[in-house]
Amino acid sequence: MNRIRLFSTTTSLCRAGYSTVEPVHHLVPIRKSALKPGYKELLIPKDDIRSVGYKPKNIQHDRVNDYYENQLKSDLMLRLYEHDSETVIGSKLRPWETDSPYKLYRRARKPKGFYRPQKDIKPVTFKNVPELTSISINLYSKEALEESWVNISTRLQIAQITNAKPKRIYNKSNVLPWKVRQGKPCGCKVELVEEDMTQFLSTLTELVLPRIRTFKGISKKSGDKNGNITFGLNPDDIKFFPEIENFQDLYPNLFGFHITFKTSARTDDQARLLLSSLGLPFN
Amino acid sequence: MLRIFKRSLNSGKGIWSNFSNRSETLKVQNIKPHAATYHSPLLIDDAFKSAYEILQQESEKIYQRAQTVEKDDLKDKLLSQAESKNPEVLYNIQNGNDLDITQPVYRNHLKKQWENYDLMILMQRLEQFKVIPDTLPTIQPTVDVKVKFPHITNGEFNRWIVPGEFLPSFLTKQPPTIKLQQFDNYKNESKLFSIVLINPDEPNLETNSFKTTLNFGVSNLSLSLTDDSLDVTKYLKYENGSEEFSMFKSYEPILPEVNAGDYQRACLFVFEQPEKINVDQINAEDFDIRSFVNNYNLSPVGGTMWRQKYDRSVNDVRSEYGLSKGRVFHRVRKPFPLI
Amino acid sequence: MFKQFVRFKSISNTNASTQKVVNQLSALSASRKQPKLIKLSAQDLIKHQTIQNAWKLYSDKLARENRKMLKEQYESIYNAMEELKQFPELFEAAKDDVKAPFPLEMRIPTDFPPNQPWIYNYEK
Repeated sequence: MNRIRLFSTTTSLCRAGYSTVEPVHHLVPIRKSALKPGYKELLIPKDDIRSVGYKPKNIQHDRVNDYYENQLKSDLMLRLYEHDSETVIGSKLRPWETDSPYKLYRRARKPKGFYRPQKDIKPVTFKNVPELTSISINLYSKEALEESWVNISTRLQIAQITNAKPKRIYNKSNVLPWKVRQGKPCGCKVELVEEDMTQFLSTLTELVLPRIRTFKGISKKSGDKNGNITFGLNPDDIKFFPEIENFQDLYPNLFGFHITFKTSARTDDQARLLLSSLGLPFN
Repeated sequence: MLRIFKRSLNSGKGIWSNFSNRSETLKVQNIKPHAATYHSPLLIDDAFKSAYEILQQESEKIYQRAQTVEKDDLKDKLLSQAESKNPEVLYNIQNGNDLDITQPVYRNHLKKQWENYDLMILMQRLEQFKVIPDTLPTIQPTVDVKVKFPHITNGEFNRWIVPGEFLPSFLTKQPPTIKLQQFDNYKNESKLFSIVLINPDEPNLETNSFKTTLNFGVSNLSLSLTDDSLDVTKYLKYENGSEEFSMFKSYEPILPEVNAGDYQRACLFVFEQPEKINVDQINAEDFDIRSFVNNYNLSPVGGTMWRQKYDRSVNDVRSEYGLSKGRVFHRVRKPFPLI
Repeated sequence: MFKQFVRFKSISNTNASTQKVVNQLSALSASRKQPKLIKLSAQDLIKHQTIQNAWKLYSDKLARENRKMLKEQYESIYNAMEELKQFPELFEAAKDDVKAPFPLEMRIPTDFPPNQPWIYNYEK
C-alpha cells in the first residue's frame, strides 16, 4: 500500500491495519493527569492544607524519635563500629560459563544456598546507622472464617490500639480441613510509620510488655535475616493496652496478633541491638 | 485582622520591609478582608510573626550570597529563591494579582505554571496533529506564545486561543495579536524575533499532494520582557512608516476550499534571530520552512497552532480580500483504481 | 411548639449482641475518621504556609547539624582506632565487639519521671 499522503486518497485508506506506537518528536514529558480538570484537586500535594488528604504532622512531642536522634544514634554507631571492615558481598545470581553455545541465553543460576540474590552488608558508618522504619501488625483470626462479623471486631481492636485504619486481609487458597476458603476475609493488617509507630512502641514497651507475666522477651531466633524482627501477642495480653483495658466490656472477644519491627539494619543482630536500645527485651 | 497582617508584614527593619533596593511590586496588593462570620485559628498570628522573622533572616543571607555571584542564571535563581517564601509575594501569586514579569520570583513562578500546563498542551497538540515532523523536525519551546484575534471584542472568541482548536474564518480574517512571554531573559534586554504563519495543507493537484503556503511573515521584531507583544499599535506604526520590524509577507488569512481535506492546520512559529536579517525572494505559494530556517540561521523558540475548515464565512472573507471564488473539489471516479 | 411528624417509627429487630457489632462497625466507618477540610481565608492560608515554611527550614537546619555532629563523631572514632594501631594489645582489645544488648534499665526519657527516680538497692 502507498504510505505517502496523497490528496486524492482518503484517510481510511491510510489507516494501518495493525496497532503501532507512534513516534514522539519532542522532549517535553506530558503528564495527562495534570491536563485533566477533574483531577485538579486530587493533584494537590498531601502536605498542603488545601488537599483532601492533608494530615497534620508534628502535632505533639515525639519523645521516642528525639531520644533516638539525640542519644541512641551515636551510641549505636559506636557499638556497631568495626575498624577496617569491608562490605560483605551477598551471594548473587551465577551466570553460566561461556564454553557452550547452549548456555548463551540461559537464565542465570540461583545464588548458592538461597532462592534469590542477597543484598550486600555494608559497614555501619554515620550514613547508615540502623533505625526503625515501620511497625507492621498482622492479625489472622480463625474465628472470622466461621463468623464473618468477627472481622469487624478484629479491625476495631487494631484501629483502637494503633490509631490507624487497618486493611482487611483475605485468604489466598482453599484448604478444606481448616475451613479456609479463597477470598474470605480472615483478619487485618496495618503498617505504622512515624508518629503512630513511636506512640505504639512506647505503649508496648512501657505499659503492655512489663505487665505480661509470662513474657520473657522476644525470641533471639526471630528475624528474617534482613533485619526485621517479629513476635506475637496472645489474646490475653491485649487487655493490657490502655485503650482496651478501660473499656473491657465493649470488647467481649480479643484477638492476638503478630508485630513485625521493620528496621534499616542489614542483619538481625544489628536489628536486635537497635530494638534492645528502644526498650524491648530479648531472651 | 487585616491590620495585623499588614502591620506584621511592614513594621520590621528586615529585608522584606525595605523597599530601597527591592521593587514595589513585591508589596502585597489588594488584601481581601475576611468574611464577617470567619474565625481565624487560635494563636496563628503569634506563630506567624516568629515564622516571618526566621524566613526573613534566611532571605537576607540569600540576598548577600546573590551579590557575590557573577553568573546571570545563578544570580536570578538566588534572587528568586530569596523572595519565594515572602508572604506578600505568595499572597500576590495565589490571589491572582498582577505579577511583574521583571521580578525573578514572579518570572520563575510563571515559567513553572507554563511548563505545568500550557507547554504540555501545546506539545501534545503539535504531536497529535503531526505538525512537528510535517513542518519543522522538532521544536523545544522556551518562549510562551499566545495568540488572540482582537478585532472581535465580545463573544466566545475574546480570549487567547487554545492550541489545536477549530477557528472560524470570520475570526482569522484580521492579523492576530501575538504575545511572546520570555522566561530566560534575565536582564530585560531587547531580542530580535521573526514570526511565520504557514499552512502545510494546501492541495497541490499537479503532484496529487500538498504544499505549504506562507500566510504571514515578520522579521526583525524587537521584543523584551515588558514590551512583549505584536499588537494593533505595532501594526499601525508599521503602516505609518515608523517601522519597528519588517514584514516580508503581509497577513493573508487561511481560507480552506470546499473538500480540501478534513481541516487545514495553521502553524505559527517564532524564531530567535542572532542578527538583523533581510528576507527576500520568498515563494509564498510553495514555501519551504526548513530551508528558510537554515538560510537565515534561525532557531525556533516557540509556536502555536490552530485548525480551520471551510465554513459559511469563507466566501465573505474571500470577497473582502478580493480573491476569486474558491475551488470545489469532487471525488472523480475513474475506471481504474488509484492505488 | 413544633412537633415533628413521624410517619414510621423505626423498629429495630436487632438484639443486644448484634447491636454491639453494628456500633463497632459505625465506629470504624470512614466518615468518623475523616475530619472536615479546614477552610482558611486567603490571609490565613498564607500565614499557615509561612509557618510551615519556617518549620521546614528549622527542622532541616536541625537535621543538618545532627548529621554533621554524627560525621565528626565517626571521624574521631576512626582516628582514635588508627592511633591505637601503634599499640597492638590495646588495638586488639578495642576491636573486640561486645555482643551484649543495651541494658533494659535504659529508659526513654519522659517529661514526668517516676517519684522514685533511682532504685539504689536494685537486684536483678
